[in-house]
Amino acid sequence: MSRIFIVEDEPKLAAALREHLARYGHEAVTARRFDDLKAEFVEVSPDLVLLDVNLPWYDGFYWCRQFRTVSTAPIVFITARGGDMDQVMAIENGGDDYVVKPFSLELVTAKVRAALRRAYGEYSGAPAADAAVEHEGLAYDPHRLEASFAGRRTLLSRNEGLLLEALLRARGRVVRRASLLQSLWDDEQFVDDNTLTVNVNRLRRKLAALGLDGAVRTVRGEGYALSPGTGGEGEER
Amino acid sequence: MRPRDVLLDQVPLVLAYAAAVAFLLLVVHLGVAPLTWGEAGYVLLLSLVALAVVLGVDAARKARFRREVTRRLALGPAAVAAPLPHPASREQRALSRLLEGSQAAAARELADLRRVAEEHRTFVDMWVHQMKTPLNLIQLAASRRDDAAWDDVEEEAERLSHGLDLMLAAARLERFELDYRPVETDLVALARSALNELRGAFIRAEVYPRVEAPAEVRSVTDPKWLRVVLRQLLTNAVRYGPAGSSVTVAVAPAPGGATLSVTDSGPGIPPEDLPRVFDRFFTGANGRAYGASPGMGLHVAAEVCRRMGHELALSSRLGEGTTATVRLRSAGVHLLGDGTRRGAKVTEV
Repeated sequence: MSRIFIVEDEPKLAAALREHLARYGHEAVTARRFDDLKAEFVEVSPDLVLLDVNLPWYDGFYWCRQFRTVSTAPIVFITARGGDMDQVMAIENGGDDYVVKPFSLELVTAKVRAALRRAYGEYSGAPAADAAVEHEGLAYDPHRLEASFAGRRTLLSRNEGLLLEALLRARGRVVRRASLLQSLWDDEQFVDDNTLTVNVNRLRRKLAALGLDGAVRTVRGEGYALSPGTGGEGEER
Repeated sequence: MRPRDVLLDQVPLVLAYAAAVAFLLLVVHLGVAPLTWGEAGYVLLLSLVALAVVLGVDAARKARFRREVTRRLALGPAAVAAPLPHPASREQRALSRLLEGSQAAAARELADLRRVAEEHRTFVDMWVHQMKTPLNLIQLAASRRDDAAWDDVEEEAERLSHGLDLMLAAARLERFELDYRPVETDLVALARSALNELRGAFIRAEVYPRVEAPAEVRSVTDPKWLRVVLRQLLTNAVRYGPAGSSVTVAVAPAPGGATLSVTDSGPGIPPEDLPRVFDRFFTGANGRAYGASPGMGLHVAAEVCRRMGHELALSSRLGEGTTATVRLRSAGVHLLGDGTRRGAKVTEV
């Protein structure tokens, strides 16, 4: 668990970031005293800072230099400008990384995770996203790619693991195909509908090996839902 | 001004002088004492010499001013008209002052226009960046909900975002030379990253990307500008590609550079529209049918390519699909114009 200081003057955006980072196991504190952020920074004493460039009173670059006089904690800039200039400025003023608005929460999580890892080593900053998820007795450990149920264990492929994780996080609610495709979509391998179907069927077979026949339910026209407790229809197609 | 022109300007003076001398000789001849031809000729000769001296001195005095005017006339309309040095007569001085005055007025007007244009560019830049925060909030709100109604919100937010980026790119084009940093870039990585940024659009449209490329293709380009181009081409491909189809992004090395192409299996562009797709504000049959943009996307993409010294070409078959190809020339040194429409020249080194 890491303490993250969110310096963003748009309250809704700051709140969205705080909520999201909290869900991934971080303690997130949003800044309030934009005229004296350095004092607030010292009070919070964060492991990482998310720092907007456009702020009232002074800009983020100024505050970054100020923070740097008292701390070496990683600083990730949030900028509205995608151009070279802001990126150069961010790095030159002591920033470690930056995200460009509009950003997705997944991207912020990834950047935060990477910055923490660079600064504090592999496991220190590992957020709860990497921690095991569990629903009705079925658990999945993303670190080991291992699913377990009632004492039995099985290893999953990367794609099967991602699907199971998404289904477990939904806690029995329907996860739409589009969302699952989003989770599977990878920098190297782009997935189409068939890949999704194939991976869902593979996951079903692995879960069946754990004694969970029909745990992944097809909701026609929608997507899939996970219900480990109940038996249901069999394999699709 | 040639010497002949200088003389032609003095014709009325010469005529008046000749008439005056002739009249004088006649008066003397008739009223005072008859003159012989020799005497008359002698007087005439003397006065002609005097006239020549007067004309010569005058011409010499004004020569520098005249030469300067001649020189600047030869330079064409680009020459600075004022100030004209060495005015020798009151007339030349007045002329010089007039030119200076009108030139200063024109310069003031030009400066005003430039300032207004600059202010507008700054406004667009600030405004667009200002809009990114609310847009970000909408996108975050939509992305946290897993249902189809919010998909629409997300899709529209992405369209807004794309439109804003396009507006920004168009505004930044006007000062391209200040914002152009060519570096050696891996085009395959750039293509993959652009595809990833658009994953939401691909998944929603049920169009799937395929990448046909070796592990790495390096070429000299400005990655941020090429990304603008690529995003536009991909956005078009996703928009026109039917559900279930795929969009192929191919990257390949080429002699002296590389090519990067985006192929969709959409409706294709009617042949009569094809020559005009890069025109500003052009909306073809597809644009109307798909309710698309006001004809800015491809125009901006083509302008960006032209300024980087890349070539953007579109080929299409009706009912089969469209391929957009960017040809990059790596070995070139890109000499930029002054940001006007002269564009990029490419010199092989």
